[in-house]
Amino acid sequence: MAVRFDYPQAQEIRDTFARHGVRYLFIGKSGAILLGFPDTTQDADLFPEKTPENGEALAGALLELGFELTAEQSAEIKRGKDFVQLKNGPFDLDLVFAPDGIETFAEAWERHVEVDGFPVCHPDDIVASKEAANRVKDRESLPRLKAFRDYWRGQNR
Amino acid sequence: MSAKRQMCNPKSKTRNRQWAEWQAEFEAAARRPLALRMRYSFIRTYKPVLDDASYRSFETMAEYRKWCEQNLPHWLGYGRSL
Repeated sequence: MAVRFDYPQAQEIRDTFARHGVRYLFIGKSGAILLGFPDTTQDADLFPEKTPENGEALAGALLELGFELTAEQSAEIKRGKDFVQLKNGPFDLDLVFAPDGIETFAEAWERHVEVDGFPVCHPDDIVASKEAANRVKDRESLPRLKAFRDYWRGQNR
Repeated sequence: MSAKRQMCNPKSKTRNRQWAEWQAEFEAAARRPLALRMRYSFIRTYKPVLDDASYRSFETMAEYRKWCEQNLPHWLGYGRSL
């Protein structure tokens, strides 16, 4: 089993992705946690930009981080399949190239927030993606997440 | 409903108490450094089926959602209904 995701792993992502020029955003509950949302989750969710150049950079960065990717898996990441779940590396990672509820990466990037150098989706986008996904676990966490979004807005006016 | 009646409404009271609790939690979290917040937030628990493969990929999000509905235990909450 991979190690628990923690601050040093997030730093590794940030620094390695920066060296490779990967364009991405933290999304989902892991993104909300970076913004200050006090809740629990298991792995990190990343929203990478879906372009051939970014896919190439992302696959290279993941190999450097220690993910054991076959040639076929690398090719899928370079191509940007909508959802890729990685449990073959130093920590678990979900790559969400087309999150529900968000039109384009460019739009999300325009609204994004930086926390300690971590690029994070705006809380409105995190809420929108969970509303659109509409899973049981999303519906359960949404009222508190929305309350946090409102609190965050008040603190970041 | 008037503001006074709303305050006396048991549902509103419960909601207001809930919001006050959350607000206190958000404020407490904001006082912690990011590294500590992350230590408290990222946990490891085994999720049946989901954790049993080292790699999965889906062409579309709809395909992924359908796979979750059909393959994961409902109690994990990855489906749209229990």
